[in-house]
Amino acid sequence: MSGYMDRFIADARRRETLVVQPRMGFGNIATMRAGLRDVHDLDFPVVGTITVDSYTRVGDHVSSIERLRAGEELNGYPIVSHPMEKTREMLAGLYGPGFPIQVRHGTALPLRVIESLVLAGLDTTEGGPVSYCMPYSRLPLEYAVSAWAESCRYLVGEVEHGHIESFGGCLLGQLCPPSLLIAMTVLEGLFFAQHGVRSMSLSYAQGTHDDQDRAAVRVLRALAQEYLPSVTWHVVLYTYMGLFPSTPDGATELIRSSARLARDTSCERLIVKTVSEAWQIPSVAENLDALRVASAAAGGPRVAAVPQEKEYFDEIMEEARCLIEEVLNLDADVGAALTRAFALGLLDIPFCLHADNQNRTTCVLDDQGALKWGDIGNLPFRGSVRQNAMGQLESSELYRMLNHVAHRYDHGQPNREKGDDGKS
Amino acid sequence: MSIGEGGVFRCLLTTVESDSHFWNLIYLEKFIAENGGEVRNLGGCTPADLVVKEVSDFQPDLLVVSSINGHGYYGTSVVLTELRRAGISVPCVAGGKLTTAPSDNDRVRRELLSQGCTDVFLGENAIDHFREFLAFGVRHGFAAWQPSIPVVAPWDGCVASLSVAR
Repeated sequence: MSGYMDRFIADARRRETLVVQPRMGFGNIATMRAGLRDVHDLDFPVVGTITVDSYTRVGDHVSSIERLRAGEELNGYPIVSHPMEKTREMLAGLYGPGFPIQVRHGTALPLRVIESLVLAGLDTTEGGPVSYCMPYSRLPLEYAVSAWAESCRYLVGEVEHGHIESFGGCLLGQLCPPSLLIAMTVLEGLFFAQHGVRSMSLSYAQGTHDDQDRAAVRVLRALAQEYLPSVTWHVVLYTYMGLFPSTPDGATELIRSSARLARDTSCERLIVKTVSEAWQIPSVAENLDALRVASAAAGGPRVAAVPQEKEYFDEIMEEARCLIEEVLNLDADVGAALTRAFALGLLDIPFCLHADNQNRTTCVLDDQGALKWGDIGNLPFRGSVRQNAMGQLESSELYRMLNHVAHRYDHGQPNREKGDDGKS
Repeated sequence: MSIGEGGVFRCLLTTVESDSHFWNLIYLEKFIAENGGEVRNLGGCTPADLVVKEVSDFQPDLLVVSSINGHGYYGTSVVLTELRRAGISVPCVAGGKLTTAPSDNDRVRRELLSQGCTDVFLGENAIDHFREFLAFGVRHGFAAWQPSIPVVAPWDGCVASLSVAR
């Protein structure tokens, strides 16, 4: 017996259908319900999302309500501040086996949020001790590690089928080599498992190069099988999380390419962005459009791996395995090992300003547009891993790299897309 | 206002407490440094009282508040209020995506100027205007900057808010 999320995913997997999911949250209860209802009513497999607002993310449960009363819109649903019976009413008739709902939040200290979602009758969320601390919070990593451990135990103690997705495959959203994303999401999965979570998802954010991304997801699946044999897991892909194309055509094509990437690499779930991403918080209608585009683009047969992926696969596998092994060797307690690994620089997220990140690594784009290490700092790589540092990185060069994908799609030059069901 | 020899100025770079985005701060740190600034970057989710403390400690010539999560208008107001409460006067500019919709930009700019911002950089040409602002500040001091008067859209009413602190 499993929870709504796992059953829904298993069902879609049997039918070889991609499950899509928006990133959606509104401060107003009626608006949130209307948004969930519209997503619920779509006629393809979709998971609902309640994204929590930024005030709640930093533990401020007063400003969210004050801002709502002042007539402002919030960028998410303040699940801790709204009365619990109102949240239950909001979910009534929508949440169920045919429509799992995930609470997405971004908090380093998640217990209040997880208590609230449990009280509202939900059991599925996401985050992780590293992925919701280093990029999102000023709190010391060890605080987040102990808070996440407590929250995992709380969740699995309170509900039968608690599901947590690791956000480790996203980190700062762009300009991070795939091996670190994969190592981080597997390590967070091991952390969840150590604290009793039996149902989880592992994540990967679409990068800058199609072959590299395909290889990366295949590495993730192989390592998850190897390191997490006794839990139920699936892979969730994120449509490109960096600077998004500003033209409707470019944005639409990028969404489609992420759906094809998910389909071809057997990802079970896709978190979809919208065409208005570059400009504003998307509306419900824009979310629905994006979900339709993604679901449609994922139709058609899977395209097999091409030979060009092999070199990427080998490189990513070597690096990711090395990172995972080095961290696990530090301490039998995964949380303690993660904390120590950052202190030693064995884990080091490029460009991350968190005080517990050494910030000695950088990431660059190579001449193919693939993500490579610039400086590797104190990362424990041996053998064939190359550094590609090019001296001081100027703001214009950083901007060029941040804008690389948006620029390419806005100018109609997405890289080779396999299985392109008619160039759109 | 004192700007050091060789056109170097001290710049405190921050965001607002609810905003966890890094890329704007990483980019701006490099950008401001290339335009003559010695930058102290406070990183994401910065509480207003930390900004006040850092302004007192670091004594910057310029405070830059950058936010892109849609809640920067409110957060910048809080920073300005806390600075006033602490009796601190420092040239302060804000920019990014300060509300959840770009249609708010003119109104937000007017209001933040009236609350004491030296200028507010929003929209497509924000970074070019910011560069001009930095170049001016290096020559004449940031406090001497005169922001262009924001246009009041007819549907936005309230011409009174044009009387910004100038």
